[in-house]
Amino acid sequence: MSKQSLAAIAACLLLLASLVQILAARGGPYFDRPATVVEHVFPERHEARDALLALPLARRLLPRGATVVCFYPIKGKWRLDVPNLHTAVAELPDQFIVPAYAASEDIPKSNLATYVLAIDGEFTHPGYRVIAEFPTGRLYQVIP
Amino acid sequence: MSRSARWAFAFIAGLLIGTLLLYGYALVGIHWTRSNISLPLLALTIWSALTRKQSDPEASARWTPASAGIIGGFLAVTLYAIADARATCGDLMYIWAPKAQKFYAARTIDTKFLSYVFYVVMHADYPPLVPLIYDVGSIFTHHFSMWSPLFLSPIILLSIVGVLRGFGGSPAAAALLMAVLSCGFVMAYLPGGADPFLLLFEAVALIALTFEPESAESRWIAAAALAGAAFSKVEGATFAIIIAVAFVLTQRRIVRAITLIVPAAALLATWLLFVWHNKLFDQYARAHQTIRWSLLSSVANAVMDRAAYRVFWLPWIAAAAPLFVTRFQRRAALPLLVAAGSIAAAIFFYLHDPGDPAFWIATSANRVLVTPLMCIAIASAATWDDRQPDAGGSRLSSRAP
Repeated sequence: MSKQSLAAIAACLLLLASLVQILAARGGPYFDRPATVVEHVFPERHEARDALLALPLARRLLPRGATVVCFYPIKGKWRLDVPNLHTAVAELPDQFIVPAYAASEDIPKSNLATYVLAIDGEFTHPGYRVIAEFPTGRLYQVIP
Repeated sequence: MSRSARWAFAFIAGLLIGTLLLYGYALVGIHWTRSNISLPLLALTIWSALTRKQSDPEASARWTPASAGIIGGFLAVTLYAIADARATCGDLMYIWAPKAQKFYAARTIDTKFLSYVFYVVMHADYPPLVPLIYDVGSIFTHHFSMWSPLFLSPIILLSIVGVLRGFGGSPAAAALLMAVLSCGFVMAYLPGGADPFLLLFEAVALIALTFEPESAESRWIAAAALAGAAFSKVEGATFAIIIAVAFVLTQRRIVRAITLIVPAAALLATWLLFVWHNKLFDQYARAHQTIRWSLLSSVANAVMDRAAYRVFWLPWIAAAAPLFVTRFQRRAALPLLVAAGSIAAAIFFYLHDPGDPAFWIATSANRVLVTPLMCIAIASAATWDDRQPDAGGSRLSSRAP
């Protein structure tokens, strides 16, 4: 075997060890079936993880073309949440996803988004009512 | 050509043909259907089956147990990382899946969706190869799954290895390339994003021009691959220019270098015309931003920090290891020049950030740096001593030894 091949094999073995170490550092469990595509990307919970679980459940209840916002509320209020906005576009291609501001109390009632998917928290806007609850979110509909 | 190389080229050709088919229909306003996609693909499949040459059984058998074991080991670890959701690229949820889903729902490139001001972060004018590839699958399955793009990455890794072997790379060099790229894919969170496709096309072009620069067939393959790269990511066009300049410096053939980038330029020009016609300019409209040389030191340090991949630059050391134990060979100059050019280009782009580039570097540099990392591994493969018994020898064409 040539010197190059020996060097390559040694380098490959070192890389394999470091790759296994990097994957282990991303946290367990290591052999459970992952619930989402981002389950073990970081040791901490990925910002899109809970939306990826809630959106497919909400999809069945949403009419085609409905205006929807999806965000992680803070103290019951809307907040700018670009990751969940984009994740909602991916998971709800038949609906029109708009930014969370469309569920703000500053918006006239006639212009409010029809549905709000609040991830991991309560949404307290008086113009909305809960129509469904999921393990990682609540679906609200604007009160006519 | 060996059977593994044949499979690799078939996969890469399929990616390009599928993309161009959907793109062509979108340009002329024809909506995608199963029939109008499958009929041309079926015709091409029949044509290629009728005209195909026999694979070289000798070339197929030239794997060594150590190399095969290493490739199998890295394939297994990469598959585990993907299946256990440990390496997913965030851009899958934030950019590529939304585009693929919306294009599939519209059965064309949905310009109304791209022009929504709410979705500006998705970059309307970004080259469309990735969502179009994902949509080829959706058209046949009537469904988009977040998981399926992830599992294209191991196929891409094996294809790159197959292409290297097809051009005569030794089994040990192929194993090293697989190891370096597997680490890059997992450590930089590439699966599901656009970078695996970019790296595939970049690898094909670079391997073809490194191992068989005089062959017209190689240059055609490289030109097609560079078109694929330019249609995958903005960086692909930069890579095409870098490789053309490096080709001029190493081969001193200016006309040949220009012909290498003609297909990429032509394809990108059609996309930019489409973008201009539909008023979608975003990333490409930022070319006028001024460069800030005062940031050079901090940007270089930040890029250097990201290049460590939290394992003390081990992937770089591993990729370059065979270069340190052998006599330098001239054909390694091209990939080394391209590696240097890619690093310089990355720093050059970061210097154009109008604000603080620290966030941009933190979120993208580890991905961008997989390109020069791969170039160094290809340079190592190019220096392998052909007289050694474990070296390759199965050239793309049967003319070569």
